[in-house]
Amino acid sequence: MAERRPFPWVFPYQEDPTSGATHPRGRFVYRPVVSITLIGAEGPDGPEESSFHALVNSGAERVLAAPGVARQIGVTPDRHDPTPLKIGGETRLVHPADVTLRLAPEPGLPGWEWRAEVGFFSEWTSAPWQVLLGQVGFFDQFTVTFSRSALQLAIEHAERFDRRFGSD
Amino acid sequence: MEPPRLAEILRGLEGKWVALRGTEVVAAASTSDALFKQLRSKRIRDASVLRVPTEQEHEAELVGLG
Repeated sequence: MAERRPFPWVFPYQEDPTSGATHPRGRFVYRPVVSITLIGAEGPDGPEESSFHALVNSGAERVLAAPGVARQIGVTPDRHDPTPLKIGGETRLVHPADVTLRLAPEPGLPGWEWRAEVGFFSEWTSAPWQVLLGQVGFFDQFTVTFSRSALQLAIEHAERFDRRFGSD
Repeated sequence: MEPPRLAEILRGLEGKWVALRGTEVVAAASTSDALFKQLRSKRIRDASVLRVPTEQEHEAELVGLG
C-alpha cells in the first residue's frame, strides 16, 4: 500500500457551477472546495463511504452536511438532539452523528482520517456542495492556509501553526 | 494554477446530481439516491459528488446556504 503523501497538501480552488457564462453578471466565482470522504456504518462490503465536494468554510462553527449524505453512508443522526442554526436569516435544525472523515491529497491516494461530530441538516436546498467543513471537526485537525491570489489552499499538520508563529 | 472550468464542464447538467473524477463527469442523475445507485452498480469509489444548480438558481450568486 502506498504511503501517505507528506504535508503540505495544496488544493486548487474550484470554479463554482454558477460562474462565467452561468453567472448573472458574468463574474467568475472560485471557492475553496475539496473532495471529502465520509465513512459511516458497516455495510455488506465494508464501511459505507461516499465522497462529496465540500466547502472549506472558516465561518462555520462545525462540520455540516446535507441529509442525503447521512443516508448514503448509513448513519442515523440523533433526532432527539437538534441544534438550531441561523442561516441567511432562517433557522434550520441540524442533528448530530459521529462519523469518520477522510481527506486525501488526490482521489485514490491514502488520506488522513479522523472522527468528528457532523451536524446533518433536516433540509438542504440549492447549494452545490453537500458538506461544509467548519472550525470544530476540520480546522481543529489541520492548519489551513488560503490564498485568493494563487486560488489555492494548503493543508498542513495542526501543530504547524505553532511552529510557524510560536503561539505555544 | 488556473482552476478547471467547472461551470463549462457542468453546462447542460443543470439540476442534476453529478459525480466527478477530477474534471470528468463519470455519472449524473436527477436525484442523489439515483446517482449513488449508479456509482455502486459501476463500482465507482473515487468520484466526488455535487449538485448542479438549476437555471433559476444560476440567477443569483450563492453567499450562504439556501
